[in-house]
Amino acid sequence: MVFKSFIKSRCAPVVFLSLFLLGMAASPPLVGGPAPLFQLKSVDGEVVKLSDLKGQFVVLNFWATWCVPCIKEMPELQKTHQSLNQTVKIIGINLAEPREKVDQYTKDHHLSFPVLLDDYGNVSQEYEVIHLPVTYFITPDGIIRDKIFGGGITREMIEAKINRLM
Amino acid sequence: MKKLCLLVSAVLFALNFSSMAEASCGASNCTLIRGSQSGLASEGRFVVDLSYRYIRQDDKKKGSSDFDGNIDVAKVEFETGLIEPAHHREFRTINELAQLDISYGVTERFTVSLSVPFLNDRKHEHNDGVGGVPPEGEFTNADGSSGFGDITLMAKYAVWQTTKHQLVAGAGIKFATGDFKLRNSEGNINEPTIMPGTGSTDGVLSVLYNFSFIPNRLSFFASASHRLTGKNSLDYQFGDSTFLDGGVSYRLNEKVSLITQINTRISRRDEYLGMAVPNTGVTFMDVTPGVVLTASENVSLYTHVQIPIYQRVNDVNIVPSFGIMAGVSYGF
Repeated sequence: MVFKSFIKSRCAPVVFLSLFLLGMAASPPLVGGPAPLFQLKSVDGEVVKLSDLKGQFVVLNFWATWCVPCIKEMPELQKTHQSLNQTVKIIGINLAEPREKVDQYTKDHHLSFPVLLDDYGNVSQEYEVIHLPVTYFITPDGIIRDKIFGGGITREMIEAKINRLM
Repeated sequence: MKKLCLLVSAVLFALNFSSMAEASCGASNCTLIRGSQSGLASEGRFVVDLSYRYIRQDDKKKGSSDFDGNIDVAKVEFETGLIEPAHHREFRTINELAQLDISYGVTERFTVSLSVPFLNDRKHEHNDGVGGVPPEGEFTNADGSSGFGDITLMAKYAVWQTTKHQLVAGAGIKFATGDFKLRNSEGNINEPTIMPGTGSTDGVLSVLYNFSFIPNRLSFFASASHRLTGKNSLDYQFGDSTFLDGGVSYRLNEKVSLITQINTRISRRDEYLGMAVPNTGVTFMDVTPGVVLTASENVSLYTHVQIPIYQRVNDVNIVPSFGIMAGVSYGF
């Protein structure tokens, strides 16, 4: 009886909405934990597995061609790739854009580091990407040690962070 | 007798579609919620949205059935405190609404927005005094109304936000800023449902879930909102309204996005001095296809057509045959 009258009352929607929102749990932070494993195809069609890179320092950069702050830092990632190729693996992960478009972009801008295609955003989801760009630093033991949110990173910034984390 | 419901619907509809210019990026990052229906603005950014709506009400309904008979509806006599059933015969109402929506991203997750319906213009045609002399009443088109509507202040918060999922909760207040005591051609207070404002302070609660199947390209959303109405100083209370919406948005290319929604509104009967007002209360369901054109990094243009697929009224009434909406959104 009481339940029925509550359901019919005007405050029922407020109570249900509040309970629903309280039920939403926040996920734990990624930094300090193991990097979520993934397997993606590159623009060249090559399959890249994160697990195959264990033992190497990996810099993961999530980006898209429509993201102006992302494309501004692409030359810096390329320079870092050229200077640290022996010790650090730079990987770009494009968020859900057509392969042809990404391929054209990488060719036009002479990017030689691997660019992977996250077609449905599932890997980005695992890495909790809600804004672009975001860059993760994964140490050889497979742990995410740091991340840089937002654009404006430079080769010097990346190198300094790697030196600190190595 | 549901012009007010249309106004409420239009306000929430516009809130859904605001932030189209969210497609642009900030100085240091780009949000992935662009193109969604969330109504959230990026941190530190304003989104200004100017929209125009045209809604034509000239279809006749009895319950949920098409009706060929006369649409004789009640009038609330505020001067005497009475409701006079079958007082006048409805023919047509043309609603033209213009609204300004301003949103500001306080944080990445929290946005406040202000909806200002600065013009509510209604051209209304009916036979007044049905049952008198002559028995079919006298035709008049002088009882429309025009004026400033009720401002709504909303706060929206992204409770859950990931690459593919987004849950946004909102709460707001609709203020009694619009005219609600305008007089008709006979000098009496006009029908409440044709006024630019309701005269009441109402609460609004909303929740929206957005799923990005392909981020920034293909997304689905579902939303629900509820309006808790208050009583105005004339002791008239519009019925509470619940809005249930769902839709899909597909970004065809850099410039063009296609959107299709199903919009449902369920409004309870209005009350006057504790009495149920005849001919009020509706259930409407519309399909709303639309196009969004990204004109530049900060500007987008959009247009939508609202096509009824289910309409139910209490008693008899005229209902919308269609609605169109066009707007421009600017983010900075």
